[in-house]
Amino acid sequence: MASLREGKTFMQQLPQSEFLTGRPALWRRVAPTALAIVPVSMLFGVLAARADWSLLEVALVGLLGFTGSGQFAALPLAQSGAGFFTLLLVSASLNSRYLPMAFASAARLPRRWLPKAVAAHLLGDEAYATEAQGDSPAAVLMIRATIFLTWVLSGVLGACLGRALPAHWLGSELNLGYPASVVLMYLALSQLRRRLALLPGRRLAILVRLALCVTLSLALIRLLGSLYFWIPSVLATSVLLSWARA
Amino acid sequence: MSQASWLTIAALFATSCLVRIIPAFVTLRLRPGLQRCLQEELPVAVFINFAVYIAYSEIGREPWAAAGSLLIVGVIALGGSMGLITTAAIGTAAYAALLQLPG
Repeated sequence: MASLREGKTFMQQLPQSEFLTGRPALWRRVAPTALAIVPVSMLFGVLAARADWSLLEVALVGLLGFTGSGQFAALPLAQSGAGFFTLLLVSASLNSRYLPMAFASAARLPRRWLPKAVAAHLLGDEAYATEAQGDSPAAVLMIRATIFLTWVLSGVLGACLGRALPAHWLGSELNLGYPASVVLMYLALSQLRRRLALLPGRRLAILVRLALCVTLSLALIRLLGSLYFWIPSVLATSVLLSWARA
Repeated sequence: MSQASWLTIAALFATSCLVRIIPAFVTLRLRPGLQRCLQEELPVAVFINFAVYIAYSEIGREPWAAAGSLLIVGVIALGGSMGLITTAAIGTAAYAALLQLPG
């Protein structure tokens, strides 16, 4: 009960004016993010079409295997004849970052098992960063489904373009994923701004804590690589933040 | 459909089950301190790692253009003065402009 009370208090502390839950307000929140992932998903579709994937295959990999980095990594592996467990190991390693997100957001999912499973499958980086602690299950489902469907449809559109466009039009030096990185950075920093404001302590102490967390995270990326740092780094950063609070 | 694409789709779906669907159904009975950590510190930790990962990846690829652009995005996001679309447009335009600079 104590933990429930604390959770409710925390949710009530969040600035609700920035997280209106009406349908138009939700659209305003999710639309920019959904638009930002269009070029990334289209790029995946183009690459998949060049690897001789059919439109049905591109649609299915988006629907069932919805994961940006995992899909990009799986394409060359599939072309090189990698087996199921190799593909599973690589994609699970790449997507292990979803574990803490799935645990942390489980409380705001629908209660019935099928909608809950669907909503859990639709979890993505952009959706997690767009959601707020106080969002209702319906709002969470709408945010996730909008981003998910945009991803799938853009992938299919990209595959259509990939068949139509000459190969030399898309040079490898073009960083089509950059707008999505900017969007994710903005969402992450906006969430941090709101959440850090709720942490107890002086502003200087919070900044010192933040600097320590960033340093720790960077050290773990350098040590373990950008593929394997996620779980150790998220856990270590959480421990550091909890320790500083205590 | 080819066997390679079936295997890829199956592996990615199995991954989704492992890292997203199953954890959503796992009920963790935690002490209040750990419960608070899951609700408050863990999301903050995830967002810190998002930011560090994006900066590390993009700066590794195009050091000056990404650093300049992400600095602008960071100032805007932390200041809370502009919306997402405007910031994304400014950040991407800054990146493209800095890429054109000599050196």
